[in-house]
Formats: sequence, C-alpha cells, structure tokens
Amino acid sequence: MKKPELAHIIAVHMGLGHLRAAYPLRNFSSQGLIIWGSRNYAAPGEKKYWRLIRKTYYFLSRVGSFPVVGKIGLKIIMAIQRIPSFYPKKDLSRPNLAVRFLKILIKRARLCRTLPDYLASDCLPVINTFYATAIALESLPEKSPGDRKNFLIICDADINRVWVPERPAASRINYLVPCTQVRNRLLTYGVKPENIFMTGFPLPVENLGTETGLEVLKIDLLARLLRLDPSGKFFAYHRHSVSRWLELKKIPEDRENHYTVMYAIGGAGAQTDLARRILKSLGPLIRTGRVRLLLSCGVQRRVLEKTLKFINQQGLWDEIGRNIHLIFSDNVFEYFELFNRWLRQTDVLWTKPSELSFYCALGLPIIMADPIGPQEELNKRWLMEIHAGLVPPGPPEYCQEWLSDLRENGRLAEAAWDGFLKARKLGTYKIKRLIENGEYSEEISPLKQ
Amino acid sequence: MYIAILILLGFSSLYLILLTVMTLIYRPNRKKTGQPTNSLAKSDYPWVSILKPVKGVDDGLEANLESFYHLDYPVYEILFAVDSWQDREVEIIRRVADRHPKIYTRILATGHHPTENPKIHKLTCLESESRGCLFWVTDANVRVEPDTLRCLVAEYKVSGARFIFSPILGAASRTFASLMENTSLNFFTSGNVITLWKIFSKPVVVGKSMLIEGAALKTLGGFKYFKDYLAEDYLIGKSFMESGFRVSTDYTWVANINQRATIKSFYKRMARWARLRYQLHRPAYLSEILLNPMVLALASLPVVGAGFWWLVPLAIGVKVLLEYLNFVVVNAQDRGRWQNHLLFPLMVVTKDLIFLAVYLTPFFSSTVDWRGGRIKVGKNSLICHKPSFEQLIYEEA
Repeated sequence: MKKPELAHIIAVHMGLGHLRAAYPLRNFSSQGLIIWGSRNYAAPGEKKYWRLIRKTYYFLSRVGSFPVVGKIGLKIIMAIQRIPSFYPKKDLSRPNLAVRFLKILIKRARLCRTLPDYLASDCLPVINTFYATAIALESLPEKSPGDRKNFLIICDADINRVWVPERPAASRINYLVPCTQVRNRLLTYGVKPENIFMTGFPLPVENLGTETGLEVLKIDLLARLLRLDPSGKFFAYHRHSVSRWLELKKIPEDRENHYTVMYAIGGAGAQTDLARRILKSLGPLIRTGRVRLLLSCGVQRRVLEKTLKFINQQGLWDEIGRNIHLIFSDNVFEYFELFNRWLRQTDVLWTKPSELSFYCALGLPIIMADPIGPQEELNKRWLMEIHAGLVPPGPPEYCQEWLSDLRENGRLAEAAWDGFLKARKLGTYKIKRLIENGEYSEEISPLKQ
Repeated sequence: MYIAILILLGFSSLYLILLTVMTLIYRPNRKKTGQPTNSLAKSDYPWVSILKPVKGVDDGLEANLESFYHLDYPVYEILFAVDSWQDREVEIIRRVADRHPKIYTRILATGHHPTENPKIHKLTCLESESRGCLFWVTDANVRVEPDTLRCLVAEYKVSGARFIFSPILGAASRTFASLMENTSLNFFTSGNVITLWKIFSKPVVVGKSMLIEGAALKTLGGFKYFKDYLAEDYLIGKSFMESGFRVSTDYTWVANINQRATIKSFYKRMARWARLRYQLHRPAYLSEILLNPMVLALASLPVVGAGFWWLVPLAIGVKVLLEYLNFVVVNAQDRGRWQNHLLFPLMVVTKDLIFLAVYLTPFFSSTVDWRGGRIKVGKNSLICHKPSFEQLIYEEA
C-alpha cells in the first residue's frame, strides 16, 4: 500500500451524499477513498452491519412512495430525525437518543472497530464525510504513532445532534462546514468555535478550474446564462454584475434556442417516478430538440431500468443518445465522473434538496423536488434564502409550461446567478490548504469564498 | 400429514404434465403458420451480426460452426472471439470460414479479463466490431437449421420485440451422461422456458441463443452493463423486460450438441447452474424440489410410513413416462439410437438422484467453476472479486 500524501479520506456508502462530498478530495491520498463498510474495507462481521444500515437507509428513503402507510412512515422518520428549531437560540448540547444509540453501536456492537487498526501505520489527518466514522475514531483507542487530526465534512445546510459526540466540549473533531447556518447550529450543540472551519462544501475541481481563476466555472456559467435568458430580462438587471464578476468586456448578444435540464434521481431511487412525469411533459420539446433532458440514474440498476421503461412508455427511446442522455454507472466513481462531466452542459438542475444543493455554487439554478427528511427541508430553506432554488410553481406534468415561463422571465438565470454569488465555491481548495498548511481564512468576496 | 404430501406430489405431477404438454405443443420441427420475412425484399432484412464467444473445442465444433454458414438469410456476418490466437479452436474456425469466403467472418483474440464475466468480456469486444443492427449471440456448441435465423427475425419483425430467446434442444447423446444432460435440457430447462413464458410471460433466457436489437442494448450501455454478473443471459432478458422493451420467443429451438459428457462434467455444469439460480431467485429455486417427485416420494416415506411404499414407484413411473414422451417427440436425433431407449428408465432415476445432490450444493457453497476459473457469486450472480480501491461497485441493497 502506498503512503497517502495529505490525509485519509473516509466515506461510507449511505446514499450518494457522503461519497459525493469525498469524491473531489480523492487526490489527497494516493490510496484513493476509503469506503468504510464496503467489500474491501472493514471486518466481515462489521460489513454485515453496514449492509443492514444501508438497507434500512434505502428502505426509509423509499418508504414515502408507498401508498397510505408510506406517508405515516415518512412522518415517523421525520420525527426521529428531527432537527429542533434554531430559534429561540438555546443550548442544545445535551445528547439526544440518536447520539446514545450511536454510542451503543460503537461501544457494544463495535461499529468501526477495525478502523483504528487500518490507520495505525501513520498519523496523517483523517477527513470523514459521515459522522459515525469520525465519532468512532475519536472514541476508540488510537493505535497510530502520533497525534492525529480528525476532520468531519458536513453534507447538509443544517444537522441533527447526532453529528456531534456525546461530550462536544471535550471533542477534538474539526468540522468543515458548508454554510453559516451549520456553524451556528454546531455552536448551539456545544462545539468549540476553534473546531469549526467555514470552508464550503467540496465541489469537483473539474467543474471549477483553478482556485484563483475559476475558469471552467466562469465559461460554463456565461454560456448557461445566455441559454437561460432568451428574452434578455436577466441581463437587463444584472449586466454590470455579470461583467464584473465574470470579468467580461462585452456580453454576447446571441441567444441559443435550446436548453438542458438534468433530473437527478437520488441515490436511493426514491423519486424515480418523477422522471415519468417529466418525460411526459417535456416529450414534445425533447422531440423537437428544444430541450435536452439528462436523467441521472445514480448507481442502482433498478433505477436505470425503471427510467428506461418510462422513456419507452413515452415512445422516446429513439431520443436516447440524442436529446435524452442517461447518466449511470454501477461503479460509484465512474458515475461521479460522468455526472460532473454532464453537469457542465446542464442549465437547470432538478433534484431533491440533498447535498446537491451546494452545487448551486457552480451557477446552477435548482428546481427542488420534494425533500426527504428534515435535513433536506432545511437545505430547501437555505436554497430559498439565497435565491438559488426554486419550488416548482406547478405540477411536474406541466413542467413544459412553467419551465418555459421561468426561463422567459429570467428567473432561472437569476437563480443561477444568485447561487454563484452567494454559495461557497472553493471548499475543495480551502480544505486542501487547511490540511496541508493549516491555513484558513474567511472571505466574503464571491470569487474567494 | 400424508394428505399434505399427496397434495405436494399431485401438484408436482400436474406441473410436470403441463410442462410436458407445452414442450409437445411447441416441439422442434412443428409446422409453423406464416413466415412473414419470405415476402421481404433483400434490402428490408436487418443486418445481423452473429456473435460467437468460443472457449475450447466443444463436441462437434466444426459441424456446429458450419451450420451457421448455411443460413437461409441474405445479410449477416459472423464474428468469433477467442482468448488467444494459440487456442486450438482458432484453426477450426479458420478452416470453416475459409470454406465460405462469401460470408464475412472475423476472429478476435480478446484475452481474458480477470474480474469480468469472460463471456461478456468477449461479447463487448465483438459488439464494438460488429456492423449489424441485430446481434445473434450463440454458443459454440449450438447447431442451427438453415431457417433458424429467418424465423427469429420474423418474430422480431412481427412482434416488435427487441429480444428473442429460444428453447434449447440437447442432442447427439453418445454417452450415458450426455443422455442425462440432453434429457435434462429438453425436459427441465426448455420445458420451463416454454411453460413459464406461455403461462406467466416470464422470460427464462438461456444464453445459447439470444437475438438482441443493438440499439436497445445500447440504451443499457451495451453488453458491458452485465460484465459483473455471471448469469448474463437471464439478466439480459430481465433487464430488457424491466426497461420496457418487449421480449418474445417464437419457440424456434436451437440444438445444443452434447456428445461426450461425463458424469463429473454433468454434475459440475448442473451444480453451477443451480448456484446461479439460487442467487437469482431463491423462492423459485426452493420450489424446484417439487419438480423431482421421486425424491419427494422417497423423502416422505419416513413421515407417512412404509404403508405408502407404492408412492415411490408411482412417482418414478410418472416421471419416466413424462420424460420419455418428451424424449420421443422432441429429440428426433437421439430417438433413432436404440441404446438410448434401453437406458432411459435407469438414466432418469440416476439423473434425479444426481439432481438431489446438485440441488443441495448452493446451500453449502457459492463458488462456481467456470471457463477454467473459480468464481464466487453473490446476489443476482454478482461476481465477487476483490475490487481495487477506486472500484466501488454498487452492492444492491
């Protein structure tokens, strides 16, 4: 095994969110990502545990789509995962049931028990994207030769108490947070301010360009804004702002007649059925080439096959490879590579407000599907606060109509622009500098945060 | 208790009778109504690429390959994939191809991928070299009639299906074990292929012959989509169905030439298939024991008492009779050999006892012997190799 250079990156396969957060950091280590609980990591007994947890997670994610009982089940899940109201501000450092349950899993069921052994050969920092591995690392006896730093990337705009150990004041976990709300929340949970770093969510550098230039992001964003503003309303308001931040001398006058919508079905495939409704509505525009539809099916074969079925039902299968593209690979890393590549051509990202909410920083307007779980409810709120996310103004069956209206009115372009200005883009670079040199600074300039 | 056992045996017999009737109705060489492709102009025939992954020298390989050069079909090419140019089968393929220079033939030495399904690895390479809009995937031990491809394409044209599968006719038995294997193919495998499709519209695809529309396959990403699974044939059919593509069969049988099987090779093949079926659909696999009434009757004796001893000969009699009917009607080639008739009852009893041993194997091991390697299989026949660090294959939750 080659020695990692910067840090160990540890993620778990629990939906795609935690993996997506880890993927841009894969080059921090020549060993790549450690997917704890997958086939080549963790002891056999522990793998079964992770498999069970993953199955439960996927079941819970899908339960809402079951008739009648699904709605009741969803309400129960929401209650269990509840994130208490932030206001009035209060001390929330007392551990809740989830924290106690996680402690039992680590101490009694010995979850992550072999993780310290795995890391024993060095004392490089560890970057986790899932709370359980970070908390387990802290609570299990360390076997490495020196003092190890333990980082945890937060993947949502607000979080449950379970992300923080039982005794937060004594914890040495360093939190890498995507937005101000999470920092404030961590403070109420009792985390010390010096353990919180406002880096932003790690975004793929292939969609950004360099840290100082953001060349790729700027080129893609300008092309997107031109496609999303056929009537010129957006540029009438924001011409100077766009010229300034994208460093343009002149805004091109040519407008393209087509645009590209990506619908990202979640990792658990909970909202696959929405693809059918979107296809039904956008079918005529797809046939004429005015809309190109990218359907991101994740890594589950049943999701891909179900999506193909919907395409067949709408008689659109001959559009596959032309105006419909399917993004799928059962290899998670290949999937992310494909996804990021297609994202560059995407004009509108339609997704539930998951970790993909932070991708609004790439200048992508986000159409928000129904959130699943309290953290997604709060991601939704965050997206609306920064004006980068739009709640569908009508049923998906009529998205052809309302998408056209939103585009004509410049609302999509405006959401893209607000996301670019207000959300943090440089998470990957900031995390790298923090790990490498201990450098950390908070900026407010849109191009430096 | 004995009523329950009688019900089980009755159910078993009824299903076996149904299976026999179905194979008799849709037997090979039956008269078919209508051949729509006869009226097609040559330019209307879709170009077919016959894809043949070859590994080793199968029984009657030369004659098998020769049969593909006599197809009564105007536009097709034949693409072979072998592991290496040094393989013995290359010479045979070249010899046959040289006899038919008018038919475009191509041989690829694709090597062997350490972690992928070897057959799919070959098919992926062949797919990229093919020119046809239809792929006809057949194994090297398959022999066909001149009109086979025409019938399959007719079904493709008429039904609008994107995937056409076939029942398998095990033929050319020369040993006791090959007779067992062929009888099991004709009765158990093809009987289930036909019955489950006809009654439940459930495709049970055996990879000996699959006609696939290239464009439809491409929507799944080509053959590569199935590279991590060993039961690629069944999964291709299932994926097509679940993706909304029509799947069909016109019950055009293809012959699987099996002359010199040994008891050991028969056991190994059956055990491999059993392990795959177990991983594909456990409830269906568990119910397979019902198709072995002889074993059921034997197993029930300790429960129902010696007074019901007659259940055993009755079950054997019913099973031998049904399989013999199938043999006489379906397997025209083997019924002309008197030794086969003589050995038939003994063969059925031996086969069913071996099947009991085979049936139990998946409960103890999930490792299969295939094409010279030992592969551990997981759910849906997923090949469980140790992945490299940047290969996190989704493990179906």
